[in-house]
Amino acid sequence: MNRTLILTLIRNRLSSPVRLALLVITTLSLMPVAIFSHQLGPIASSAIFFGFIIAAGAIGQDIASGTLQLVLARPVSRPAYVMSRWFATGLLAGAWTVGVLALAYAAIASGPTAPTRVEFLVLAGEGISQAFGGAALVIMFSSLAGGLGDVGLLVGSYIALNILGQVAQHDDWRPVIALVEQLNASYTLHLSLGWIVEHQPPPWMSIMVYVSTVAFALGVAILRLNRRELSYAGNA
Amino acid sequence: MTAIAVEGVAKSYARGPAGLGGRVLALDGVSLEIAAGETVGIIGPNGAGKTTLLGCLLGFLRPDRGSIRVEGRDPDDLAIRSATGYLPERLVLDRWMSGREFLRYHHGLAGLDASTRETDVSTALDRVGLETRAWGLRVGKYSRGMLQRLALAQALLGRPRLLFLDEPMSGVDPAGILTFRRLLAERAREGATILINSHQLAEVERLCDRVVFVKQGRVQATETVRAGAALARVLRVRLTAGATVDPGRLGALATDAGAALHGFQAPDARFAVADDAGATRLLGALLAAGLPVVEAAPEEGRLERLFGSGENATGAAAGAASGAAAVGRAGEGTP
Repeated sequence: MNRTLILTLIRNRLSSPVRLALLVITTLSLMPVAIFSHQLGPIASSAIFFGFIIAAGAIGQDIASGTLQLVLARPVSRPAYVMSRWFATGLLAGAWTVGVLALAYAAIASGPTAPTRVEFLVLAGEGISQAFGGAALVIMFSSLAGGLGDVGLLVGSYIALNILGQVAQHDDWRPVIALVEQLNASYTLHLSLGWIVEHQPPPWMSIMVYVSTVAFALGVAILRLNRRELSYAGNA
Repeated sequence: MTAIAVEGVAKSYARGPAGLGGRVLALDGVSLEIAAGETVGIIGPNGAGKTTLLGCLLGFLRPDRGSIRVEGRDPDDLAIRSATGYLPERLVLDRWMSGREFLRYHHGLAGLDASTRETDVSTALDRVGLETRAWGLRVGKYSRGMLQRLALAQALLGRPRLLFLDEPMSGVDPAGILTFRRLLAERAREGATILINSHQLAEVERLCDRVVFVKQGRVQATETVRAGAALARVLRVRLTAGATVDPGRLGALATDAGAALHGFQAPDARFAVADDAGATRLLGALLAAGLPVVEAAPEEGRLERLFGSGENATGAAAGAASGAAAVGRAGEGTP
């Protein structure tokens, strides 16, 4: 990973009025739910949206604008570029999630059913894992489509999957239903950390699913970028 | 020592949506060798394959066949990229940053010493003549000339020993052109290998040791422009129509004046002269010999002629022009 790329992308995202507005709107719509229900869960489970907002266009915009050429003329490998894009967006989305969780925790801490500090930490960890998971998914789509085409791919594939799921349910196609459920789970990819406070053994299967899904998404992005040619001279 | 070796490189692009329109051949068996420390210009008409060649040399594009070695390594080897400076034709720089931030960013990407970052950035901005008040301005607000200066500053960061410049002088004001010439000549003197892709033939002629003319994806001619500076210009002299002149006498007069007769077809004679002083000497000699001179004018530059002949005759010039014929290299840093 490349430190300069990570810090610069974080600065870029924090200086984008549109992204900041989207983050604030999402945050403001979640806060009342958390405060009135005295639960932090809705915020932690929305971390993936923060990941989507921050990671959207992370690679595609560089490709479409042509700025990727100048980056790759530097001693930065393509895999390092992809990993830096993922880490920067996951880190920022995770930090935003923890910040929002902390605000909500402070607002409901005095209530009778306030979550404990340990519950807060577990939810923060789950939120961070979801932010990095969401970022990985968007990074994969971003390597496949220029500009903000990743948003279209993300939404389009989600809708297509759900339509397929409905059809499969209707016609009782069991294997398709199972496949759709698995694929749908990657849109809310996260690590459950409840086992830490419940003194349970680690859920290795779900940890493997998380790690392998993130690795798959990043692998696709690296593969795609490695194969991509950069030129305005032809239809590269 | 060879810095860049290109051997039989071919590159094609898919045409039309999903490649349904077939393929367009952008490079067709290009072979080229560039010595370390050489400054080489690539010229040719639009769509000749110049930018594609540059893309292959930078590792942005993969040739369909053939090989490219830069200092004995693959073009996208990180060690090569550490030693490379690149100025793209399309200045799609990060618009949201200030000029200073943009250079800091590239200083970091280049892996240069962070402790000298601020000094290096200020020096680079200063050297390309970007006004201090523009340093903190967002790149999105820069004019074309300012962008070009910033892009050159970016390319020169860390004094790279390989410089790839795509239309470096495009959109630059006259003062900027002088600055660019000075900086590039300085890098050349320091031993950098420089490749310039440009349509500005006069600039290419002024800056380069050698010029490669590319057309239809092929190297049509290679012209050495530094060697043989003694006969730099061609002077066309018109004599009175109907005058009887012995070409042998013309040749002897030219030789005595330090010039050379290139051809005579009455009433026009073409002489190769070293410079303005040479032209004055020749004209003086012709007039002193009583020849009826009615007009004298310099011909277009050699590259213009090469460009023109290449436009009209494909391939014919390849062999003929590869010998080091002579066009002078004007003094670096002069207007």
